[in-house]
Amino acid sequence: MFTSIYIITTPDIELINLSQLLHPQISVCCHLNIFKMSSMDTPSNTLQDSDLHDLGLSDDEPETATSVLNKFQTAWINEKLSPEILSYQGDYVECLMEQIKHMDNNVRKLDKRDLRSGLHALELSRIKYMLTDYLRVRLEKIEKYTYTILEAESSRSGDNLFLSEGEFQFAKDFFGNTQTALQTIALRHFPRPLASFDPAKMSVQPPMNSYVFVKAKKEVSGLIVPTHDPEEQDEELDLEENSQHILPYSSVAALVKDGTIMLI
Amino acid sequence: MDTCEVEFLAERELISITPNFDLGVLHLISGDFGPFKAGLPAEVPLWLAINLRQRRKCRIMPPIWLNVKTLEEIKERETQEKLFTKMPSEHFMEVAQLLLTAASEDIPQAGEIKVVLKDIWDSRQAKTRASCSLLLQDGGKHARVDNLTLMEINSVRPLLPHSMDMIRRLQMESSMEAQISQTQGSSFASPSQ
Repeated sequence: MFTSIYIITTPDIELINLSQLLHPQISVCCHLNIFKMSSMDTPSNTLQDSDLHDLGLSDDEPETATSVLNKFQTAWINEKLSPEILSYQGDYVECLMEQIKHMDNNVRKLDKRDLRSGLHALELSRIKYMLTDYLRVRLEKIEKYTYTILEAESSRSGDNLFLSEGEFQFAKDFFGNTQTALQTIALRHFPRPLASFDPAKMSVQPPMNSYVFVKAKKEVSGLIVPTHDPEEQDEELDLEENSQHILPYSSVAALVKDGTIMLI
Repeated sequence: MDTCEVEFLAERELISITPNFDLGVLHLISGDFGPFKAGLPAEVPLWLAINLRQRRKCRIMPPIWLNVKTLEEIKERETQEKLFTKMPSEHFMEVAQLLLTAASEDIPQAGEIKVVLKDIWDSRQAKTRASCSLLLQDGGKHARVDNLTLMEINSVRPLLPHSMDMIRRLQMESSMEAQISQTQGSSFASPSQ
């Protein structure tokens, strides 16, 4: 399911004085294949490295907690600024959650007067803010575009799902509850010909043509920017690497999803 | 995006500090920082620097561009050029603001710096406003906004994309009306006939 391996340097090894942790510990975290490794160079590390080779997983780019954090930050900003819901970055979220839990435990073991405890706690609250805001923004979108999102989700399958399990359940519940509420409060008092409700006609669509600011991470050539005047030709545009533009979201939606450009 | 969230992003920029404590390498999730030796400079993220500064654990070394001379040069260039010039940092305004608030004693000529920064900000805002209105008048479909910093983009965020969207909708409606009147052309003759 998750192909990438997170080789994560346990940032806490020096925090703990327990003897069993003096040697770097390697454990597989939750359903992610996160290999926790200490930054200390010890024989057991190299052993595990060769294990990785044996597993044939060495081709995957090793990811550190820092690179996961950076990628998640981009995903968070994209999600905040895009009009439609993007695919759920479950592996990043879970990886960071795991890190936070781990770090939380270690910080608690530290003396309150220790300088490090405050600094670690501060970093944790910064990451927690990003995580919660990411989830919050997604829930807001689900509440707003429930029908459209559910409809789109039902056409996707397996690995391409955009919502997490919890979000999908929430969307279904929210949709059902809204309909029940409309039914009991208003619709059943209406004359019969008017008492039916078609969510397809009533639902709100995300404004896909709204304008967004983007930054190209790689060069893009031949991007089509549609004009809405039939007499004018659609414009074609080349984006240089690292250039910034304002464009209609619909013209770059696919590029945002594959990570060629990011929203700013 | 909220202004304080733009600041939040700026707080990940790295900055040099001179600590007055000794500490080994600090293994944060966002990377390893240190080791810290009293009196020796170390590089840390801005949020860490400000936190340490507030607890009087370090002195902050202002970034190389945060001095009156460099900023005056930037201001000069900014007023001469018609386009936006490149700023020394993508978060220059936020970084400067945060440092001037949290550690103004560590920055020489903090008062003058504030004035020059305000001038740079104002002249860039004036350019932003002028180019926004130009873009809207031309009915542009896209624009290149190189060298605009995140804070500046955020300052035009609700208004500019919204107006462009509105213009697009109006254009779409008028072209649809034109199509309808074309197809029904004969039956809807002009009222003068």
